[in-house]
Amino acid sequence: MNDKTELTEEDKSLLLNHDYDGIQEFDYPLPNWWKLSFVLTVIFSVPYAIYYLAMGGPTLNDELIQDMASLNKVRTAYAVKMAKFDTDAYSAFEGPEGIALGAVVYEDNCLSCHEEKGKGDIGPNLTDAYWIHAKGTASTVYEVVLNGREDKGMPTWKEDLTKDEILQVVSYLMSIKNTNVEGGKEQQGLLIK
Amino acid sequence: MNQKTEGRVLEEFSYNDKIVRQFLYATLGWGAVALLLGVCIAFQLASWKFNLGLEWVTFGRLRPLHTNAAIFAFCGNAIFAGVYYSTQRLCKARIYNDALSKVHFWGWQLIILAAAISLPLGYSHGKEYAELEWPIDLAITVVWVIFGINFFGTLWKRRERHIYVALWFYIATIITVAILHIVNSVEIPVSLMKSYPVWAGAQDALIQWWYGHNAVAFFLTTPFLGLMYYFVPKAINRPVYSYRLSIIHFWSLVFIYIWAGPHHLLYTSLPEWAQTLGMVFSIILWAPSWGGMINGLMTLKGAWDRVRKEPVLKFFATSITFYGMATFEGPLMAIKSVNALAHYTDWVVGHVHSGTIGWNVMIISGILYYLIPKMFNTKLYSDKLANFHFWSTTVGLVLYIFSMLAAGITQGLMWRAIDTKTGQLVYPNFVETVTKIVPMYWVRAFGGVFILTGFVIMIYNLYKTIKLAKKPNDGEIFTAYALDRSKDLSKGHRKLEGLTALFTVLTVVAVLIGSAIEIMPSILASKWIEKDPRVKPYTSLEIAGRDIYIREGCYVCHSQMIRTMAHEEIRYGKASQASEFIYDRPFQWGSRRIGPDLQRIGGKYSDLWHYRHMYDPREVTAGSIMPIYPWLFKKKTDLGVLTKKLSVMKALGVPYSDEEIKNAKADALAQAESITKRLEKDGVDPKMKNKQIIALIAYLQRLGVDIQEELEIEEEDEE
Repeated sequence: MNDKTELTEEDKSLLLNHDYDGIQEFDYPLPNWWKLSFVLTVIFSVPYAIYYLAMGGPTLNDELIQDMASLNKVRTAYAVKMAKFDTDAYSAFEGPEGIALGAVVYEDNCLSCHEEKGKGDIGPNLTDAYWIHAKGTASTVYEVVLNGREDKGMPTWKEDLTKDEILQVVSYLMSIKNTNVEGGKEQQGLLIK
Repeated sequence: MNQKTEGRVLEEFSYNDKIVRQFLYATLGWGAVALLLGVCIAFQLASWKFNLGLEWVTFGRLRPLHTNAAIFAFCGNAIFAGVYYSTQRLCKARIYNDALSKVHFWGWQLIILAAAISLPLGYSHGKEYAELEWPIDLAITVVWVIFGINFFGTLWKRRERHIYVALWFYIATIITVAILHIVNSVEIPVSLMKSYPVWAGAQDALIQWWYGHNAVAFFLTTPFLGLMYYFVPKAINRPVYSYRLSIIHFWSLVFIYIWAGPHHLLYTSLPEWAQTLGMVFSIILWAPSWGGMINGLMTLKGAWDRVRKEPVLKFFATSITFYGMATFEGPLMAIKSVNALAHYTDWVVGHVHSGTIGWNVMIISGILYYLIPKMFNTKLYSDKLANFHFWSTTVGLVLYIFSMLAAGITQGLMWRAIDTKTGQLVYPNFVETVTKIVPMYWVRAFGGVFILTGFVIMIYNLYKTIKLAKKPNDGEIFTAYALDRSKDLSKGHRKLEGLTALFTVLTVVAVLIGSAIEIMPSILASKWIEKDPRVKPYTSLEIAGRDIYIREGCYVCHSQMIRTMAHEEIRYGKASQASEFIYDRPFQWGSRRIGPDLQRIGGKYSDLWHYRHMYDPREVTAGSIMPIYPWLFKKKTDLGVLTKKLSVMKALGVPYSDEEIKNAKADALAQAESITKRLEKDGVDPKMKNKQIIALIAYLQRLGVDIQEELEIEEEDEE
């Protein structure tokens, strides 16, 4: 170990007479590509900073407002479409296939509060004839799922689910309504026959 | 015996290498602990079951212990060992004071021990890499000053006229770490192990990341560059490549690094001018960082054939290469639009570890393999084992970096994906974006096992080396002429290298310029953050809940910062405003979203949802990787301390009335009762009202509510 390697002629010409605990120093010039990259970062940064700090370049908040404005056009249009309970679209999901799709949506999103088979836990029992917000019909249940009742702990699902997914889950809910599943939560709300 | 020559005295001296060895052994021990903790928490993310359901070893408490152990215990001891060894030799002088070095050593180990006990117990500031509570903060300051006295005392006693580049980096380290630590830790104690920072909200965020970023700069970078400048030329026995590059990259690095902190806060509520400065200085920092890499690699290049064979040089070459990669990736990630994708994801975690493992662990390993055989005047026990260590670390690190890069980019893209037809998020359930990357957590954890295994093998290898050597070759007597105090005829920077006091002052000036320009406005300008009359102080129960949130380290997985980006507004609600955080001591914006943002969680779910969620997260969120918190349902909230807490808050400028302070306990109890009453309908025992879970629910339900309510009214008006 530690055998000293031979110095080239160039090495020797650039060797300084510094010696610290045996450590010597060359004085090789700064690599050109390094100097160039240093200069380029400064050339990029100075005008960039001046533009955003002093010349009124758009702020991140301005950009957000702009992005939200264009996005909101799409979102509002979709929200209008979603707000309407679409009987034709719903009927397409009323069969066993739609109910099966709805069961999957239910498991992914509703089960955590309404428990298996809708027997109720944090949220109310969905298998009895008592309803707190909805009136037990597909269209009223659709509305509650869509908008939620945040003050009562039911979140809105218009951000998380598509219109079709809500229709599917409503179809599933209609299929379990009045099944009075065993071990279900106590009755809450009004009896609706 | 002293001889007079040329009017100067030839003096005899020896080096204190015992203290160096003590620090080296501590480095080995704490290094193993830090890596083991890293492996543990990596598995905890892969499967929540590894949290064991025990409060002391849950991720939120162990993660701060891992970072503190890695930075301050492992790297700290390595720095002290390397600095004491090289400074004595570069100054041709024994360490200033042997007794002080002992106090330094044992003081630092006690601090680490205090951290290892207090962090699992939940005593935490809730500020990253600055979690330790105020008595430990004070101890750190004292011990650091002792280190400083010993270092500068050695410079004062030196027999070498000019100071070598390694010493420049040590000076910058000692001065700047002291400034960072003191400013970031200004706090008022509430009790023996609890305090509140003077800084609040966005200001606290700015100062914390000025500290946090520069802890990376001046604790993990500059001291190790200094060590590189000493140990690399020593190990390869070649001159350093370029003296003038040393000068330029030292001063530019020290001046520019300090500005870059706000790149941790891009798209947040930090005033945007500070964000812009943070970004551009990070970009300009690229070349100065690479100056160090060039000098290191080009010094090694003189004997490249040996680099392929000798373990020490292999570790050095690899560490410098990773330093170069990390300091290229850093500026890249500081570009606003790149940061928008990377921030809060595992990409940042991967980046950090390419620095800490690639650069710090590798260079420390190289130094250990060089120094220990040398100090015992022997050869390393096994080159084969050292090579195995090298490859094990390299493979582990590659697994780590690429799994985290893949996880980070995947999750970042999932968060921002918006369906163009509906304007809805494609992955609205946050947990989907987590379960997707869990396989990567397994890969990372096994990468960690590779790294830990290599490290343990090094310990064995060095143990055998020491065991087989007879004894350390201490006490060798050296001679050198006393410091030449005649007029220094050298010019420019060379002359400055002989004027250590002036050199130190200039270093201080270099780091203070950027610090002052970025931080002073937040302290001096009363309008730095526009006040919002809707934002009210927390109630006493919410304060109690908030301190539980801090104690459990919720901030290591959850942010409280909705960034100014469309997909964040859609997912979490209106982008955060700086005015919302003015009562947040400390700020809890976080740095990683392993779970979703919580800034507007208040009112989103029912109390019962939170109650169930804290008891077992999977009961309400299938696939969640969050630990369980059963102890919150057993332990009582300390209501007695609330009057004291509120009065400290009031002293810091929070507008609590005397009435509120006096009634802090009664108010908290009343709020707890009303929450418990709501839960009672769902079968929760009313006796739960004095349990910590209720205080935590009170805090969570308050988050982001002040501004939200108003907003909903605005929206209704529009309709």
